[in-house]
Amino acid sequence: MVGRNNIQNRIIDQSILVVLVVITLACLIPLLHTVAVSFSDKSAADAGRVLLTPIKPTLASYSKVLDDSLFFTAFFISIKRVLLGGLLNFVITIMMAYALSKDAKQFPLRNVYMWFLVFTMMFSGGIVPWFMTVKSYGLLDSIWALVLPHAVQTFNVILLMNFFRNLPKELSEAAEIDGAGPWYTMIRLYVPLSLPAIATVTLFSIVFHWNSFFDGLILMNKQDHYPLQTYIQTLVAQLSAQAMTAMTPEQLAEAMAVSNRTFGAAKIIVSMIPILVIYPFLQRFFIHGITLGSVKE
Amino acid sequence: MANYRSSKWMAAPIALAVLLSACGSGGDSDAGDSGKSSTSSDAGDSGKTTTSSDAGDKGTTTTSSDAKGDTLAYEKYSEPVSISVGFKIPDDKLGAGDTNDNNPVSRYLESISNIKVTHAWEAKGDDAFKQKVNLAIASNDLPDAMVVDRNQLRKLIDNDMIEDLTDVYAKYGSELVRAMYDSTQGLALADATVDGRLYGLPNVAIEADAPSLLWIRQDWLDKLNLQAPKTVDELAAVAKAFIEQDPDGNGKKDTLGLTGDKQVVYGQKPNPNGFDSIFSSYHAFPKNWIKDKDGNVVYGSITPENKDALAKLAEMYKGGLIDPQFALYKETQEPIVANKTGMFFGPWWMPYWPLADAVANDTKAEWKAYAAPLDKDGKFVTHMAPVTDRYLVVRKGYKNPEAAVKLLNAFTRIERRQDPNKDEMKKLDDYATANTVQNRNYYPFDLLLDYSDAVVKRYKDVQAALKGELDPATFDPDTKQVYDYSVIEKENPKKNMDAWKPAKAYELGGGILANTDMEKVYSLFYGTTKTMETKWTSLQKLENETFLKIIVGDLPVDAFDSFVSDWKKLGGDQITKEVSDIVSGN
Amino acid sequence: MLWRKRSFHYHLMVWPGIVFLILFSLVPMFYSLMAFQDFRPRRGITGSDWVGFENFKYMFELPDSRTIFFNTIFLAVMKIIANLIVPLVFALLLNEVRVRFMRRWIQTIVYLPHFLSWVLLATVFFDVFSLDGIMNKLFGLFGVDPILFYQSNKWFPAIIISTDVWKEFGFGAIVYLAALTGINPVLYEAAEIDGASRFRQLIHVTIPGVKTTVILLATLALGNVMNANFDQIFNMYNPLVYQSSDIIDTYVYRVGLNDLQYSLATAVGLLKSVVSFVLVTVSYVLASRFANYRIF
Repeated sequence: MVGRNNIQNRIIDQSILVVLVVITLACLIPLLHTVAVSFSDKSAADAGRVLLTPIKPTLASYSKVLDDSLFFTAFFISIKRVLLGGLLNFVITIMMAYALSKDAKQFPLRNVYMWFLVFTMMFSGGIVPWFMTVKSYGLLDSIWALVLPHAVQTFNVILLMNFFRNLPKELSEAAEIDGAGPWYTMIRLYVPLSLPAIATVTLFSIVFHWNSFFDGLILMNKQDHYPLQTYIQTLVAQLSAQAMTAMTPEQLAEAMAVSNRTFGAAKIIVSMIPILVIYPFLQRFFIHGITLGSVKE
Repeated sequence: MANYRSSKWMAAPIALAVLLSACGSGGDSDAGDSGKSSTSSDAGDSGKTTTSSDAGDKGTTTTSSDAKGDTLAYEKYSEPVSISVGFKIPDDKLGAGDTNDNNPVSRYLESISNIKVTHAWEAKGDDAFKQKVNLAIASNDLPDAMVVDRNQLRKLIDNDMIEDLTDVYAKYGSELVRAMYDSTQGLALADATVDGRLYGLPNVAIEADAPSLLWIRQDWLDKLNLQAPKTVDELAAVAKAFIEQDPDGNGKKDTLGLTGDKQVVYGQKPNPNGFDSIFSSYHAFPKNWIKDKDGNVVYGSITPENKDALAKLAEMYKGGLIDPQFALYKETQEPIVANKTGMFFGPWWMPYWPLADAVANDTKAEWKAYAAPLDKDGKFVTHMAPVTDRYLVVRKGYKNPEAAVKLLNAFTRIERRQDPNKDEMKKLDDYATANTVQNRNYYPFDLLLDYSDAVVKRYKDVQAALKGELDPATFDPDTKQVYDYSVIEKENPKKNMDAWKPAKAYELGGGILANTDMEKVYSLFYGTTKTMETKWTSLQKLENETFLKIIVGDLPVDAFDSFVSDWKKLGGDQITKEVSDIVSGN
Repeated sequence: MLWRKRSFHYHLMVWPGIVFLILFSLVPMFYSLMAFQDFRPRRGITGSDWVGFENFKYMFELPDSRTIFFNTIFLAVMKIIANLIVPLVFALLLNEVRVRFMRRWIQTIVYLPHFLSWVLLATVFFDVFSLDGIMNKLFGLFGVDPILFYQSNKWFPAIIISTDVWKEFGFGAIVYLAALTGINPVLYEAAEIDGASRFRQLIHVTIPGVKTTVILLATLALGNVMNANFDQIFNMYNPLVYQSSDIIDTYVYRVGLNDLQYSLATAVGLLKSVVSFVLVTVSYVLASRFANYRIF
């Protein structure tokens, strides 16, 4: 009896594993393909012959990326943006989350603030009003235009706030009785206990800043002020036919000549690197962090 | 000729919808061309005389030397003047240390004018540039001067945001600039004029840019023993042969028939892969305003002739004769450059691009242009393009509006190779060659002027010179350059692609234009009416989607009829009435 | 005196963020008043003529509006449903895996796409779904003729939904996995003693264990019903598939920025905001009433 059950179990286990491996491969294949293209010979890639292994492997595309000074300018602007924006998010998220994790008895107006946060998260007037606002502060074309408007990541605040809420009340009560002030309690008690959650929201904010492209497109006035994703977006953006009409043959020829698959793939891979580097370090945190933050069992 | 109503601006109805142009071998200029080539001469300040060398223009050449006008036009400011502009970033890579706003071109322009050009913003790519302009308009924060499109110009005039340039242009416009505007019989300036006041300095498009020719691999035709197609059916037969008979001889069935673009038709100035000429061979003129046989103004996309053209295209697509993937390419030229196709439609300048790339990839390729397909009477029919589509405007309240005009004068003179400072010009040319950049991309405004008949004229001159009938020494610098390249190409075919481009564009493209009797159809109207402002975008969308879907078989051909009634219902009738009123001058 | 009050310090902690929100979220709402105006750039918000609900009325007359509202809701709802189910199934499968290092590897890989931007992924997928791309080669193995995925209004929404699932399912599974680990092992042991098969254990122990989580996530997702993901669609769509994939956000972008109809674009955006806000409020009430869970 037991033996048959075991065999049955083994078969089930094995088939589940197979299914999961297939799913995992499905996640990897598009990315592997891009890697393969980036290392392939240009003509093979353009002809669509590359699948998952490079054809006539070459580093030509990567050396071309290295030659593209604008790519690196953009790369470092993105790094700068991540550092500034991440830090600002970090500070503001912790402060707001801590204060809002108190209930309305301890913190009158708490619910007013909370609804204000949710309101501002859901309401937007669209691109033109937003552009006019940023412009009126004189922030256009500056790195702060990419950082300050996103100072409050409401979603992260809610996440961390829920995490704080789930910490045992006795902790802060005990601290209060010992005469610890709110700032001390927050920094010395809550923050150390919430490292996984804080790592998670920090990762979110880093990824957010690294991946944003649209605000760079609208708010930056010079190409060498573009963050990386914006720069890449303008490279892949297709020329509108109407715009092409307005160009001279020579301009058109140049506009068209810049694109090619291998070069593009190499750029994509290089711009993924920072995420790939930090991701494994933070992975073990966020699994823990997001769970406790979002769902209270 | 042009007719403006006080309330409706920018109506440029052209009296005749259909003009027959006789550009035969005789080269006599027809009525429409008389007075067109007033040749500029900088005699006043440089002593250099440029003469028109087109035999056909004898007697119509007006050589003017308004020294006073040009003195002001090129006069250097005594005090530095600064002007901020919106700048379109080119793809060129400048030499080390040079930037978009500080490079040999900008430094030279500043040195001769004492105008300091600063970039209020820069944008890469045309959509991005358009958006920057729109945001500038929306937030009422215009740079001192910039180039805008037709809709933007309208918006700016409506909102009283730009300077009236009438007097500034009259006082500071150079002879050269004037001469080129005059070559359009006043149409170009009229396009930017409201109530008799000029609000923008337009570009001048080359007339030759409008017809879409059939470009075909002559070596494939020859290999398969085929004749160049004349009709749509012959074209389909050639496409079939190109697909099935392995014209590239690699043993694989990897060649395509006719390639296309998701735009289907361009309507005015075509780019590669528009089906414009197929439509016009059926006497359908989508995206243009024409007169029907009763003399009523109609929108060209809803006439019954379109249905015939669409039916034919759908049939071809179904039979695989049109590249099945045509609507998908990010860049329409992909199959051409990859030498997968042996036929496509495109204007005269195809050798510049994309054919130069295609031939560089496969030097066996021998492309040729044909004026095809012909209509049932054996005539090549084509729509024409508006003479202008972009305008240089100056922000209201900018205190030196003439600076924009002076910059235009200065770089137009460079572009047309008439700048008297030979040494400086040489330096600029050397810089361009050394860094493989196009100097024209670094003019403060992306606004090129040319004589509207320049291509045909240059073709004729160069051919005459090659035969020894004309002395190339008398050519203006542009023509001279084409001539020089043609000589290089003749001596060493396909060795120097920089020579191949202009030589072939003029020889093949220009040649067809010069030697073909064409029925030219002008649109009656290029502007925007009140109702268009709100409804046109969705109507255009409806039109483009319907045409595309009919061709790829997502919709039956009969869907065209419901498209027409939808189009009328959704504001088309109202717009037609408005256009009709403007055209007839009510 | 104030300094002594704890709540004063809570205010202090909240205010820096509030100031940013006022500057960058509330002030734009002032400019959004142009939705009720015939906005003239030179006259500004204070000087332009008020037109009441004209722009909204006009919006409903446009043939496009129905399409874009439908597309937005359709795509968003499909994504919500798929992103509830696929991660759940995946988590249930993964939960059965006992080999630790396999578990880890699988997790590391499937979480990864969540962190990549749509700018990059759009390029990757364009390749995957092109005529000579992987997908067509795969279909080709089964004798299917090459499909023009990106120009087909039938396929493209499916691509939008499935690539979104591709990107997010792994990450979405985290919450389920946590819920699964939270199930008391004693329950399984008891089931085993009763001789329940693995399938029966799944039905009677595992599923009830995650039921609350599923319901809760579904409720929370309500706020996203008007949100079909601008970044993704903006980077992937093309004019051929506007009919099936143009959404409110992309429409607002094109109308406002390309067609110079600021007031109209702003009106459409505002309407979306109002509906979204109402939905979030509903989900808040539902969650607190039925799951006794306070979202925020």
